Formats: sequence, C-alpha cells, structure tokens
Amino acid sequence: MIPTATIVFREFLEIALILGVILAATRGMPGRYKFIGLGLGLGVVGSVILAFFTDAISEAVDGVGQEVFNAIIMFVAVGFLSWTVIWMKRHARDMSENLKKVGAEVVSGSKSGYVITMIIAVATLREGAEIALFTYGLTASGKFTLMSIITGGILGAIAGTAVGIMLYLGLLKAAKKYLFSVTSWLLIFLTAGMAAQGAKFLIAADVLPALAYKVWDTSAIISGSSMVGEVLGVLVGYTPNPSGMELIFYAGVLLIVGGMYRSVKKPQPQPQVAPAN
Amino acid sequence: MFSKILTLTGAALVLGLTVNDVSAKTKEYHISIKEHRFTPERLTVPAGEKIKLRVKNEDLTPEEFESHDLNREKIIGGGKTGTIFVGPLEPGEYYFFGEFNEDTAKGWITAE
Repeated sequence: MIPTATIVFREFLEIALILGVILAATRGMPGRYKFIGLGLGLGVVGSVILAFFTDAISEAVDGVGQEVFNAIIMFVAVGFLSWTVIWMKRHARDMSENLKKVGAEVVSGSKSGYVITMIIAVATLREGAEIALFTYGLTASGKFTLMSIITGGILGAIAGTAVGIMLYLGLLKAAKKYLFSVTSWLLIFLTAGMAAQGAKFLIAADVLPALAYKVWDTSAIISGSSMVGEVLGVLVGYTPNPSGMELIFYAGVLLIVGGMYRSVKKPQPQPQVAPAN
Repeated sequence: MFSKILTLTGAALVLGLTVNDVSAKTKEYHISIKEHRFTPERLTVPAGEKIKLRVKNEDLTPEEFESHDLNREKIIGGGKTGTIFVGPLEPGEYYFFGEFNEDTAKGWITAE
C-alpha cells in the first residue's frame, strides 16, 4: 500500500472536481484554457510557498492563524465564484453562440478571465499545500523510498483527475441543453458549501459561535469519509453533521447568490434596435 | 459589487477576532503526538460545554488532526502545538485520527 496515493487522490479530487465544473461552465469562453492554466500554475507555486509558511501562519492570531487564513481563502473564493456566476449569466449569449470576436472583447474588457484564474488558484492553493506538507513529512520520515512516494503521488493524481474528467464529461452529456443552468446552479451550491466551510474554520478558531454544534447527523447514511460523501462535500458542501452557523452561511449564500442569479436577465437575441436607455 | 460585500463581511469577521477575548472559562485538554500516535488515545471531556483542545506534535513531521465526528481538521507542524475549539458536544464517542498517518494515529474523545 502506498500511502501517498490515497491522500494525493483526496486532495486532487477537490481541485479536479472544481476544475470540472468550471470547465463545463465556461464552455465557449475564448481563452479559457489560458486563464485556467494560469490559475493552476499560480496555485501550485502558491501552495509550495504556503507549505513553507504553514507554521508561521498557524502560530499567528493565538494559535488559530491557520483557521483564520483558511476562512479568508474560502470567503475570497466565495466572492469570486458568486461574481462569476452572475457575470456568466449576463454574457451567456456571447458565450453560447461562441462568437469569438465579441467574446474576446468581453473577456479582455472586463478582466473576467482573471477572476476565473483566481478561483482556480485559490482552489489549488489549500489542497496543494496539504499535498506538499504530507509529501514532505513522508520523505522526512524515511519510511518510504522516494520512488514509492512519487509513484503513489502520480497514481493518486491520475485517479483524482479521472474523477474530475468524468464529472466534466458527465455534465456535458447529461445536461446538454440545460448545461448553462445546471453548471450555474452547481457553482452556486459549491459556493454555498465553501461559505459554510469558511464558517466552520472560524468556529474551530472560536471566532464565531457554533450556535448548535450538530444540528443533525446523517453520517450513518452518507459518511463524510466515504467517496460519495467527499465528492458531495466538494460539489454541494455536504457535511454529515453541520453546525447551526454553517447552515446559516450555507442558506445565506444560496439565497443571496441564487436570488441574484435568478433576477439577472439573460440577454435575449435581439440584434436590431437598441433600447432608448 | 457583490464580491466586495462578501469580502468585506469576511474582513469584518476576521477583525471581530481581535475584539473577541479568550473566555477564561473554556476548559483546556492536551493531546500529544509522538511517533505518529496520540497520547492519550482516549480522552474524556464534559458534554454540553465548549472545550479547547491543545494538540502538541512532538514528531518532526507535520500531521493533520482530523475528525469527521467532530467536524474538524487542522494541520500541525512538526514540533508545533495547535489549538482547536470543539463542542458543546452531546454525550457520546468521537473518533479522530492523523490524516497523514492514519494507520497508527487514532484516538477517541468521550463526552459525558
């Protein structure tokens, strides 16, 4: 048994799932590979740097610096994701008709592509740092050969990526006509889950009260450590035993971002007369 | 605009930390990690009140304290101590483990 495989798989899965949804959602957006690739690159570099500073961050703010830092990362991601969902709906037509020229102008004009870069970078950052720390620990412990660590890491990465690709292809195939709505709502649920996770970090740091530590417990049905539980955890923020505060954050983002998404009008194809104002 | 509101909310929450003084009443419990095992492996804490766990990693390598039952995860660097607030818990048994060394690092918290 190679221990790296399972851990790297678990962390990779999170990145790959988010990437899968973003790829499906930004279909037709020109230059998206550039923005996503840039985000991945930044995330990888950032996670190695973050791994180096983990101890310093942890000891900041009375020993709960890590939680505060993680919460900030989560809330930044929530901001970027909410913005993207709304932005994409406003520009849905440009993208769905795949008008390269119009699309390119929209993208470069509004810098929206870089928001996607940031989402990917932020998503990669935390999980990437965990992989870096774990791998460092294994190497330093001397229990495993470097070769087995690398092999395990690669196997885990391949498996995680495979699940992400399955999600991407599955979305394209299953959602087809409704791809835009499906991926948008998926992103909104994913965002709500991140907000709840951010709240959880602040509860662990004693910055926020839990309100109720465990409102319900569904771990007997879907355990948080099961494969299904983990995938649902990333995609829709599933936690078997959420606290009251997490639920408030979750519902809050769902209502606010979901409400905004619904109220934004998708531009209709009316090429002729421009309205008076 | 919306992302701004959210970012500001996040910032406000973080600022709240400086105001939020450590409550003196929270009971502290210590767990240490050595050779990828927890000591004590079984810990009894009072149910119905918030507690503060201080986890000291005496190994040279980092460990991630994780518990699905407690809904917590935290990386603790080699030679470092991490603080985790837990509860108020309902009476019962809560499993935790070291994610980086799951085959040896296991423990249980009993709330009663």
